[in-house]
Amino acid sequence: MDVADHASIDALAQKYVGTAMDVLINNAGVSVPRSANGEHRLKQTFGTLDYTAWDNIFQVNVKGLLKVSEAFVENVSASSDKTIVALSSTMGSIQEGALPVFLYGSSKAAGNWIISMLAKELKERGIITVSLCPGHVKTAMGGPIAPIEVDDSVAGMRKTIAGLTLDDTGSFKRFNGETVAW
Amino acid sequence: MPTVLVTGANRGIGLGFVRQYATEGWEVIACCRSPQSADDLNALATQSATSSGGRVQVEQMDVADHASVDALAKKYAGKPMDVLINNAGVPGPRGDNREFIFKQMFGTIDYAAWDDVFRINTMGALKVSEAFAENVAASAEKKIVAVSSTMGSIQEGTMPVFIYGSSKAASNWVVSMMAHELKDRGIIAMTFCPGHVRTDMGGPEAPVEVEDSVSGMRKIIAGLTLDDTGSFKRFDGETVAW
Ligand SMILES: NC(=O)c1ccc[n+]([C@@H]2O[C@H](COP(=O)([O-])OP(=O)(O)OC[C@H]3O[C@@H](n4cnc5c(N)ncnc54)[C@H](OP(=O)(O)O)[C@@H]3O)[C@@H](O)[C@H]2O)c1
Ligand SMILES: NC(=O)c1ccc[n+]([C@@H]2O[C@H](COP(=O)([O-])OP(=O)(O)OC[C@H]3O[C@@H](n4cnc5c(N)ncnc54)[C@H](OP(=O)(O)O)[C@@H]3O)[C@@H](O)[C@H]2O)c1
Repeated sequence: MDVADHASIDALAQKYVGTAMDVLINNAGVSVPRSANGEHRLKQTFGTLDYTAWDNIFQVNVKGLLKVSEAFVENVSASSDKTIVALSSTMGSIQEGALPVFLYGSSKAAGNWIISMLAKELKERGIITVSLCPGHVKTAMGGPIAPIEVDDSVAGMRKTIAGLTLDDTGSFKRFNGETVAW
Repeated sequence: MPTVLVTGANRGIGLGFVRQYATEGWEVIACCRSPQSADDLNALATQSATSSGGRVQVEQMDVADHASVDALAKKYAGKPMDVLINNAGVPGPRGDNREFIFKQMFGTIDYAAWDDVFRINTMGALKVSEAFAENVAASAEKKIVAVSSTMGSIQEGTMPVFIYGSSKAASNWVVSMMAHELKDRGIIAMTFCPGHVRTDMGGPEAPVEVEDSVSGMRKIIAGLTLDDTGSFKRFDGETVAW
């Protein structure tokens, strides 16, 4: 499934019609791909923004998130845990974001708006919807100097997910359970 | 007199800004997609040319067409602009009945129509700000404002219009980050909710008149200091939560 290819999302949803899905993790995400010379940073910096690089980020991080949630909501609704999670980022927080990565950050802010509106929309059906920041994790995106190992980030998020109740719907948490401001 | 640039200046709130700033004697650079059919705006410009008030210069600029933004920025290179108003915006797809916005509702989202909304409401405001930042920096007042919406607030938004709302949330992030980035240069960047205003977008039942929304925002703009950078305010001065 390519989250930017809606036909592939619909096809997968079709394949799994009727299967209960306890947790839906919207993890797929992109930024401007890292380049050795640091050019990726310039593309997201005010004054040298590369608007063409924004399109894929928007298709994946914003539209993809909503489309996948829309396509699998009945599966989630039919499960017992009924949880939809989006991997967001503190960089997408309007209040806490401190890095001027304009394309990525604003896409995660749009994702956060979507998640909190989904929480309001789906609460009646008992569905819990949250945004999680995984921390700064050692991956292709996070880069080699990131302080957090994938294992630790994921273990923390899984623990946080396991403890969610309907009271937590619409919240924004770090992998360790701390609240992030919008 | 100070200079203001307004995007989406041919109708609605944008036209209201042009009218009031011109009346007060400002030099107004009034930008719109199609000057040839901007009858109300052209009439205002003609009127301003013969009156003792401010001067209204009508310019072509489609905020989603970056070549047109760059062309206008080039034309005005070196010209100080005290206030830059990112007003141009679109509501996104609506159903046949404007009250029934099913094309933006969960379950029936019109994904194909989303791209334009994002390009205008989110990218457009950033592109225009980037293109004219030097003009603002060279002015006395140094203010960049964006006309956003409470609908784009993560905490206060209650209407599930997914396309429009998320485009404004992304724009809110952009304006707050510009506030951080440009503070050193003395530039104030902030976000407005104009209220629910009687325009084509707001609809005929909207409770707030353009004139009142615009005079409220103008009053706030006039009083802005660097301490207000990065804020989100309603036209009546109330703070909106992010
Ligand atoms: N690492 C961090 O420090 C950090 C911090 C904050 C938030 N996040 C968020 O955490 C999530 C995972 O990031 P990561 O660090 O694991 O990044 P990553 O190592 O770059 O992996 C990204 C994953 O997303 C997939 N993907 C990209 N575009 C896709 C598409 N159109 N359809 C389906 N899958 C797609 C990639 O698949 P391909 O291999 O096919 O490209 C890859 O599996 C992202 O949402 C990211 O924004 C990461
Ligand atoms: N009315 C409300 O209740 C309300 C509430 C909250 C926020 N707002 C925001 O306030 C702003 C003004 O809204 P309004 O009520 O005055 O709406 P409106 O009456 O529909 O006017 C929208 C203006 O934006 C222009 N525009 C649209 N796309 C453009 C583009 N690509 N390039 C340049 N100009 C473009 C339109 O020009 P054309 O004539 O060429 O289409 C028009 O001048 C918008 O950003 C809107 O989101 C309005």
